[in-house]
Amino acid sequence: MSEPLSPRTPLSLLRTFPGFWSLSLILGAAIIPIFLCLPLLSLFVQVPFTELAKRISSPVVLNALRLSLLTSFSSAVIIVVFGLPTAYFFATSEFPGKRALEVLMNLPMVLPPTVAGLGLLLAFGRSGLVGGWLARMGWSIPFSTVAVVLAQLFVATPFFVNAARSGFEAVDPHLLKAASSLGASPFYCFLRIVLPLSSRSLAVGMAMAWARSLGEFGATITFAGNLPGVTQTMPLAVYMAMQSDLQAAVALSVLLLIVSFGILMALRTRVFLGPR
Amino acid sequence: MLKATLKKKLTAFDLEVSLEVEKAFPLVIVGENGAGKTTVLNLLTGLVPPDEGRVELNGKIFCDTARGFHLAPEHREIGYVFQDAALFSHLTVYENVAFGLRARRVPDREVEHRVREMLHRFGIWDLAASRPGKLSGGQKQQVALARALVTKPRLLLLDEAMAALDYRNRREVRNDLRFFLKDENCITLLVTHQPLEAMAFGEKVAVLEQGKIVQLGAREELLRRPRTPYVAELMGVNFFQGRVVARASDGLCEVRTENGILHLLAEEGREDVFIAVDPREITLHTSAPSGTAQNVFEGAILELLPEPPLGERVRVVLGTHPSIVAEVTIHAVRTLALREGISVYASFKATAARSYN
Repeated sequence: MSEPLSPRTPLSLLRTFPGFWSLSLILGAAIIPIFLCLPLLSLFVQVPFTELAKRISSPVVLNALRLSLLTSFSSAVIIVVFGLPTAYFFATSEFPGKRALEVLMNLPMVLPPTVAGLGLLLAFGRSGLVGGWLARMGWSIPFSTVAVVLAQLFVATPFFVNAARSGFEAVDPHLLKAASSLGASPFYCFLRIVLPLSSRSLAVGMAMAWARSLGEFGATITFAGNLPGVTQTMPLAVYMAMQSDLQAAVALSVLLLIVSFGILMALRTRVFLGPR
Repeated sequence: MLKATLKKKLTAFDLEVSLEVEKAFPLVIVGENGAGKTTVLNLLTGLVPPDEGRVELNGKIFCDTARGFHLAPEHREIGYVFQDAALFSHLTVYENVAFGLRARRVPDREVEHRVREMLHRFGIWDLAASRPGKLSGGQKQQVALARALVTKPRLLLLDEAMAALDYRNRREVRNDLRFFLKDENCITLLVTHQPLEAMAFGEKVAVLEQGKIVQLGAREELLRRPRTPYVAELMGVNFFQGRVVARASDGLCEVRTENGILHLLAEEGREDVFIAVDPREITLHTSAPSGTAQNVFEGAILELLPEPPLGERVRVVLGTHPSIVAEVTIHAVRTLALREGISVYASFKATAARSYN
């Protein structure tokens, strides 16, 4: 890695390039962090700390948290397992209709989540394309925990596949050529060269997909409903609490915030410590 | 012995090459960028299948389209070294060199022994624990060579392997390699676009132009008897192609070329001849020469290039038809006040031209 050219601290930036450019860069760069942190800070200011512990330990909250973590991690694992081959195939192969298929696969990212939920219902619902067939076999998907995971998979997978794919595409083809001449099979190349060299992109994609799963609301409530303990994840619980008890909603939100921050931070540190 | 006949349709032209390389005589393929050099290597490694062809190394068949046979690249026991070294940046030097052995499931103890020996042979044992990002260009290329050679390849392919190195590193790496290959049972093929590199590395040189080998031979042969304008340009020789139209009793001939009549000495025999004229045999004049010089061209000076080591001699590139290169002394440049843009006469004697067919 080459050394960055520009100075590191705002002060040294101002000292080396005093004038309009440095000043406007610093001011411009300050607006977004402030805007993003303001709502988060407000939650912490509002939270009744004395009651926080009590509120958090209520069974509704604990159930919602447990369900959120369970489903979002399951989704993350499934996304990685099936996303890796998909991303690698799309990164390394050409076939007719590839471009159109890629656009289709990215649609869930821009679709309103309620539309996604409706689509899932029409596909996996009792009278749906696949759901009807599953129902005859005795399996009912909607309004179950499985439906929560399906909703998360649908909206979050593209985040991982896109990140993984750009990571794979960034691996120098010369390295693969060298590895295969050294006697490495394609699978060995993938394990020892491609995966380690794209580990950053993979971790970033994983974090984004997981975060998107954790925050999933619209598709879940449309497709899986809002049953406490079965399909009521944290975002749904927050929304429900807001209808009756704002303080409870704040407490839930703060809890969600702390857990998310911890996990994202851990992932980041892991990534930065990993090989470059 | 490597025997290969390869055909492959490319977008710009059809590649059609057949090669025979012996262990004792490494082959250099020289050609411009885009002539198909890397494609030839890809076809040999098996990363790209030929449309038609057969590759055989020491009796082992790599590929034979007539029988629909294609051996996977990882089973061909080939060492491939790139211009950019292509080291695995996430692995240490040691693990880079060990990669091929581990991929072939060589036992750990033997891996350690062979990697250690190889790093010592290249004098880079000190670097074993370093990451490639910390190495100089020469060191990277040494690691790349060690990585390829530790697997004891039967065929070593060097893809512009020395091109990115500076002059001194290049000589060192080349010497390392030559020393190493002496006692290995390994057939070597180098591709390059630099004629100097080709001359320095191989005694046998093939010139690739538009996917075809236009000339193949010992390097002296190419220097003395180029057969296409491109080869002549690579070798820095003036080149003409023509037909003998008149022959005098003393052997003096008139040869019709695209650019007019040349006078030279040619033996009896075939009438279609190639003509090479050494740049040192060309004399420059500021006014039309009279006297013994038989062949005169007029044109503007395009370039003046001092020759290493001391600039005592200067290459003068002229905008004549065809373009002629003369090599004159710095003294001549000064007395004739030669500079870019001025018009001069270039001449050579009938005896200075070498004709052959």
